[in-house]
Amino acid sequence: MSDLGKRLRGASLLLVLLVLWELLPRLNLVDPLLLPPFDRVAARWAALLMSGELGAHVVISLLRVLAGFVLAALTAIPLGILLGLRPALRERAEPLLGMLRPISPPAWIPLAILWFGIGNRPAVFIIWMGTMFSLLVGVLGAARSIDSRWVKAGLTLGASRRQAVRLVILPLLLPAILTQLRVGLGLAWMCVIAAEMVAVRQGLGYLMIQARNLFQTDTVLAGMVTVGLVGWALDGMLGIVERRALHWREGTEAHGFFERATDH
Amino acid sequence: MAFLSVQQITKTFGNGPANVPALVDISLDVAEGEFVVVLGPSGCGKTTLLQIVAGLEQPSQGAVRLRGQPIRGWGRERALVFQEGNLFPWLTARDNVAFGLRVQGIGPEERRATAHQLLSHLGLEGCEQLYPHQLSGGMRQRVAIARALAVNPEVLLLDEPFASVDALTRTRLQEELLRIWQEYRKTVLFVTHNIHEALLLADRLVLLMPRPGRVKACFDLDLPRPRRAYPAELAAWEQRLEREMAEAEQAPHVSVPAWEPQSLAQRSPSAKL
Amino acid sequence: MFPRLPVVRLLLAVLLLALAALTGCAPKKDDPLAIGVRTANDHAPFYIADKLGYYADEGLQVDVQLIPSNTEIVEAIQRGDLQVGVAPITTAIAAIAQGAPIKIVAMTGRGSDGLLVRADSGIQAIGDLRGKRIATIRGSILDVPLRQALDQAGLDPEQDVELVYFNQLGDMIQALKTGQVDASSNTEPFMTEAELQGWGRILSYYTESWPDHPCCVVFVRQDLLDQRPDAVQKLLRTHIRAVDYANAHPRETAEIIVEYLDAFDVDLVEASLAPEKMRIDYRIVAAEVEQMAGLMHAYGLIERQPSTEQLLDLSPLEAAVK
Repeated sequence: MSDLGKRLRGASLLLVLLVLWELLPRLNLVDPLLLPPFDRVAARWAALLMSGELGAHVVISLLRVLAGFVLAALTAIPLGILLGLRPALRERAEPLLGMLRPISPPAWIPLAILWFGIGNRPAVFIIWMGTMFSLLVGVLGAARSIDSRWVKAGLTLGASRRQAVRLVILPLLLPAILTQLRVGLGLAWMCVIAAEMVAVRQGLGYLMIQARNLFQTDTVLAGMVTVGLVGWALDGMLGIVERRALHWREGTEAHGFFERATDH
Repeated sequence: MAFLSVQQITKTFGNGPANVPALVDISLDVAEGEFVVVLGPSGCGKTTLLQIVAGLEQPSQGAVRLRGQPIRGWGRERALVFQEGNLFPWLTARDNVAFGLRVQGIGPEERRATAHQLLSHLGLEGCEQLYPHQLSGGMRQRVAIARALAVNPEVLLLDEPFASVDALTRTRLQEELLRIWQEYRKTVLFVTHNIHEALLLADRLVLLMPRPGRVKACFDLDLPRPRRAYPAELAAWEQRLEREMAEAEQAPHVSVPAWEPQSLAQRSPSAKL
Repeated sequence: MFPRLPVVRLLLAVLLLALAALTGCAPKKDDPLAIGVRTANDHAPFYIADKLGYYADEGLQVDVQLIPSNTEIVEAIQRGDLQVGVAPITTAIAAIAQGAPIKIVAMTGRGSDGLLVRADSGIQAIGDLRGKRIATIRGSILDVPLRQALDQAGLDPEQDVELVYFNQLGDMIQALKTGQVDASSNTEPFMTEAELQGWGRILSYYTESWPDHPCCVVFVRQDLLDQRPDAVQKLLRTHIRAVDYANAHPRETAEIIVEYLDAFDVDLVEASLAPEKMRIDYRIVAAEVEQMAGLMHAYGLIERQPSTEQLLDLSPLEAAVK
């Protein structure tokens, strides 16, 4: 199916949802206090955008998320590769990792406040913790399951162990790492609300929390829509990076076989 | 002392009563510039033997010496061409060939020139910028050979490199390999289960039999090359080898007494580890 | 094309579930009255009425639920899970300003909020807070009187001090203790507790700038008022009785509070019930509700100021008093 065709299909589904969102509260099939109609939310969204408020909140949240995400990547990737390649270390680390990983972002809040006070630092810390362990486990899994045949090829061509890691293992891991980073960025962005519960004065999470306290549901929804849009854009950008970096993978993907031959 | 000397190699996988003796007391010598083929049915441990010579596996007993010195693990002086080629999928053909040079710290200009030269030598001039998935099976194996040659190994090891290509391509690749061998004066240790292939290529043939892997016989092939010019002799050899191979395949399982570690005092002076 | 897609069928199913969840339910005639209260001193009349059986005396079946968050109480009322709520007047005004179908019907407590600082901080008056960081919960009963007090001391809340917005009282106290803020808007009994523990000092109560200001109120769903006015009157008669008891028996009230809050000790709570700190009361007048709404509007916390009729319905209380 053509690109345009795909886009139209996605758009039509969205359109149906928007129509429902408008009609259900207006017709009182859904309590408009619980779900304000779409046009009110859209108007609020536009007002926030025009006043520059929305932009300011988005930028602040983005900066926090990117900071936490970068920290998570810088810690999780090397650690994941190390643990993936060294079974002895991995066995010792696994119990600790298993306990830390299920801790959801909001659960880090008390500790974050205690250690870092209020403001940006605890927020970044929460995003870091919320993202790091998933990233670590993903990279670790990929490193564990590297096919050894390319490593053997590299070694018999004269590579030392360190060269094998740098010149064979890392390129082999790059696709998995990029996938994990994409997932990780999504996770980091999802942490934004939890992260901004720690006494910050700007940000999308702050906007939504304050709006909720004052029962401004249209603002809450406008915030959610923005969170979704920004998350989508971030993922799209990383997708482009992924495609560029992995152009050598074209022709080796299996998913082509799962698309239907004839699309309607 | 032989150029490459495999001395009483024994390899047992696993411990205790459940162990699997893959190779028992294999010895063979390769002279410099010789083309030696290890021939045997599946399961005779010929890949394991090659991996030991390449240093990717450790023998349970015995040693491998190159120019009189025991080998230490893997190294580019014993470069290996794998059955599936194992070309790095993220590198172009040229960069694959240049890999071993990059590892040595050779500069980009020089490595590209060397890679280009080798690829041309193997008839792949137009393919330098292609990725492995864009190459045919035969082309991939040529790149694999060029890649191994690039590091100028003392011994070129090949593990059934033409097993997964079609017969026509295989013939061409065999001729290429012979040409390369003669031009570069390489010492080659080649493993296969294909009798015809062995006869076309080998100066000397080592026949292994399975369960466990042991040397059944060695043959010197005094036939001049190109061997296709001597169909009658080839046919005779083929018959003989087919018989030998059949015997080898049907040989009963020989249970080997569990290997006991020998104390230093008990070791004979000649079997140095 | 559409209906055949299994994905669309799934979506429709999800939608129906969502609809079922999001439509509020109207109360039926004889259901027990669901009352949402918080854990706070001035919600004591409801603990008292519950413990001493006052509801049964009026023939009223109730289900008193302790809910930790003001926002949740209002949201539960909006969904119809509760019919009666007890929460700060600021919460009720904000909800009504956004269209919540509720009416304030009575007071339950006055005062009890103020500013807490560290004992060693050297801050002696509100004027000393210029340039300092003050913890508050935006738009709440801790916030509006704070802004008013700052105004009266000549400080612009947005310019002359740094307001730091929290969501939980516990975090604010922690931040004050560890020096991340210089003052915290706060409530009883935490303020007295901080002094007794030695690290804190009560700077002032907001009753100094607004004597006897309203704190928590009782509000009900409009459809409860329309369909079961008698139940509302019985509820308020119970409430009046419990308020009178609380004012006459502070020690017993403190004991009941400790039991329901499952925290603090009786002496502390009794001390925090002192008349100079707070007053449990049921009386409410339109003027003070209007004043609070006006302040909230002036400080930009609500976008439109609801009318008195939208905020308040005094008729059940007037009937109950007779």
